[in-house]
Amino acid sequence: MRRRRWIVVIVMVAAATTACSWQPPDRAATADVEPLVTVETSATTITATTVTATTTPAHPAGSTTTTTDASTPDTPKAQATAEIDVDADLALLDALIEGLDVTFGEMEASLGQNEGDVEK
Amino acid sequence: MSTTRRQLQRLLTPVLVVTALASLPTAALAQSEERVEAETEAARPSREDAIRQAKERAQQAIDRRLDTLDRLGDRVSNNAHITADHARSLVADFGAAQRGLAALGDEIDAADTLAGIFRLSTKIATDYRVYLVIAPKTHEVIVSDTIVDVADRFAEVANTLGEAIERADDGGYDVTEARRWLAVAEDEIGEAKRAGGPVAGDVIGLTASDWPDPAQSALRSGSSRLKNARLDLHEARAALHKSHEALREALGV
Repeated sequence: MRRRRWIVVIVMVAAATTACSWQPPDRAATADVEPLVTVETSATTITATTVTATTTPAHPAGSTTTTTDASTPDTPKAQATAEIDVDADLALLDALIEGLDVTFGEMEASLGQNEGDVEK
Repeated sequence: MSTTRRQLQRLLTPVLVVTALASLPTAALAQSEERVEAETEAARPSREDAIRQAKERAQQAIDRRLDTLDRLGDRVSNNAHITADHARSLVADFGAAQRGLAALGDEIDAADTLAGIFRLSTKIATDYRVYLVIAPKTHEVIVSDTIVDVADRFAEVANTLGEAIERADDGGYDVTEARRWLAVAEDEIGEAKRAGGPVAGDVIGLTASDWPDPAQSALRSGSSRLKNARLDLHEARAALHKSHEALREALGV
């Protein structure tokens, strides 16, 4: 009778231990895979970027090319098209010219001033 | 007899009335002139009042100049294009003028004769030339440095565009038009720098004692060259846009 009670206790303890250590299969897989996927994605991006840079050596440093797609065909047209994507640069020049015009207007106004009431 | 008197009365009455009416404005005018003379006498300022008013006018002239120098200082400090050397030099000029004007204000305040106040007041303009030299030269330096900086940015974009044109040319595309407009842009950029760049150095050293000349002629010449440089940059911008469009057309994009 006492032995049977011990067996029940042991079985219950074993069941409780198993229940505590159990995790759903998908969550366990995510915990292991997720960091790998992230690392893999970053590595892929870096690799793709590096490949693009190395396969188009004529790209100047600091070029304004907006190429982000590693699958862009390596043709003169594609490269030139990517490199002339200077809309942002041209818009910046427009803004700079507008700023210059304002500054210039202030200069012209200052040249029209005089020393006023005490000018001699 | 009685009839004759009545007739005489009838004749004289209108004459007397007309004479009385005609004399009224003359009397009124005489009274008015007397009143104006009395008022003028009362309004004539005393010596103390004249001194006080002269000091107030002088202080207002100084305050206007100090405000202008403050604004110029802000303009220089907040400008992204001006070189550090030029900014330092101008800020030093502003500081010297502000200290000098403040000291002059103290001298004027301490003066006790009208002649002394007038003699010191003329120095507000002649010793500092805030409006004839400092303000215009500051603006010319800012515009000159802005033109150089903007021209450099234009050159960078022209360089990028030029490389794209060469690449398209290597690929067999007709880039004649794109190349032609790019050459126009590069010429205009170079011209803008040549015309506007040296102005800052030409005017930054001008002082009050340089007025009227050489300050006047240097500022006029600077303004004229900056005008041309600005137009050059406008032309350069238009040419870059056209080159860009021509290249896109050549590539069919």
